[in-house]
Amino acid sequence: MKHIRQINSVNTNTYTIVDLSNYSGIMEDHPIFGAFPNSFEISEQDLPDFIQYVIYDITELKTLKINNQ
Amino acid sequence: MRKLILFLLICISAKVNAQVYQEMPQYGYRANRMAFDSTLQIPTVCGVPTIKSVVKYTKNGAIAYDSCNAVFYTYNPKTLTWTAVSGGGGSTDTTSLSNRINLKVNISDTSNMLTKYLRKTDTASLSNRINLKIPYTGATQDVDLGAFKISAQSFQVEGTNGLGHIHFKHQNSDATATGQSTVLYANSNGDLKYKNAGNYYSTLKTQQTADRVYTFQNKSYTLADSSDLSAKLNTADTLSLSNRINLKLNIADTSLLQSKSIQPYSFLANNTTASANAQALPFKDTSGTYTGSIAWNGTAPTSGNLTYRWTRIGKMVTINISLVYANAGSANSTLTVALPSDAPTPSKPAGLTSALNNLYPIVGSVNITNQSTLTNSGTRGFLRNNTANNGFEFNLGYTATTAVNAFITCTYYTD
Repeated sequence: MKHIRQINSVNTNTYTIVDLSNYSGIMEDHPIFGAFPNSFEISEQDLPDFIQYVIYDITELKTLKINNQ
Repeated sequence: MRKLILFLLICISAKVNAQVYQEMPQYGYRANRMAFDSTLQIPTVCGVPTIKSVVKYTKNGAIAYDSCNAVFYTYNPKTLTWTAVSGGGGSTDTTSLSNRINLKVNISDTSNMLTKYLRKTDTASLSNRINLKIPYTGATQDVDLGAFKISAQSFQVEGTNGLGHIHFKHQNSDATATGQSTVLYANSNGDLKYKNAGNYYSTLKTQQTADRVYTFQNKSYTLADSSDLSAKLNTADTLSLSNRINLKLNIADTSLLQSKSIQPYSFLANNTTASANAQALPFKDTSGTYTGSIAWNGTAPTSGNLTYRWTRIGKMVTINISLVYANAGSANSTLTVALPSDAPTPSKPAGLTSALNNLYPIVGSVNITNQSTLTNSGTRGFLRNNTANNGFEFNLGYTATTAVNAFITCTYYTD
């Protein structure tokens, strides 16, 4: 299943993916990439049994993106 | 010829009676060692006579008188022995009949005389034996029956004061007066009493009922009935402890004995206003690796030791979740942790049944190091219904930080 994962969680016991349950847009355009550059990537790897989630607030992500620019 | 004539003359002289015996014309006749006069005088010797003549005379009887000892002897040619003739001549018998009987009977050996009439060898005097054979009042000595026993339809013992005593000596040499015997007797109340060697008295009596009373003299307690058996244990009791416990417990009541075994995840308590038997209430303490859903905002801390523990006592549950990471997160200001799936279901307070309704407050903290004191990430939160309202989660809000650990402690109630 295609998902957005936190890069530094790969190969740890806390494989972390972005909670997309409330997101309906294109995955590559997800605002988390702008808010946290180089921290997330898209993966189609199978998910492990235990995963950790990153939740977000669109408004906060946009603010973080502006701060990063 | 001359020899023949001589022979014939000798033979003729031997056969022919040349002389005829003539009676002695004078009074008396005398020969060697004997004489016939007014008396017959016989051979007189000193001591036991002997026959000095040829052998053929020993075949005839003979008499002689021992003048030294005044003994008359007769000779028995059959046995070739001399025998002194004893006995006196007739005289007036002045001995009484009893004396003559005594001469016939060895009266000094009275015990032997009576032996065949007695049942045992008895060396006591005749009068004593008679006394023993004939009961009479006023006996002044003991009667020793030896190994024999007394058999009677009834047996009565009367003492001088009316209280008969039966003494059981501990051994033959024991004296009753020194307490070396056990005495059994009946007192004036008709109670049977006995005294042991230590002069301790005990009473054995019966009530009107069939119950028996046994009194321990010089003791402060009396066994009145079986209930007194619970008074105390004999310190000399050599029974094992387990045996004594079995005696104390109604081992037939196995249900109570099994009270030490109770249902799983429970403890015994009385949650009522009155005394009552203990009831099993829920109790459980468990812990493990946390595998529920964790959601951070920002970038999540990674590579963690995620553990939890909860304890339930009755309806109260205290839970602690510890999330310790090796890599810190960033921009973290919200943490949502699902209630472990094995935790008791929280009881929803009235009016808090909708999604995301807070149910119970929690104490939590999110920290940037494992050693730091409380940081600005100290937070408050709640145990709440989850978004789908089909579960429960802990939700913490705090000042954004780079979290490296988070701790959650919450006490809630379950139905």
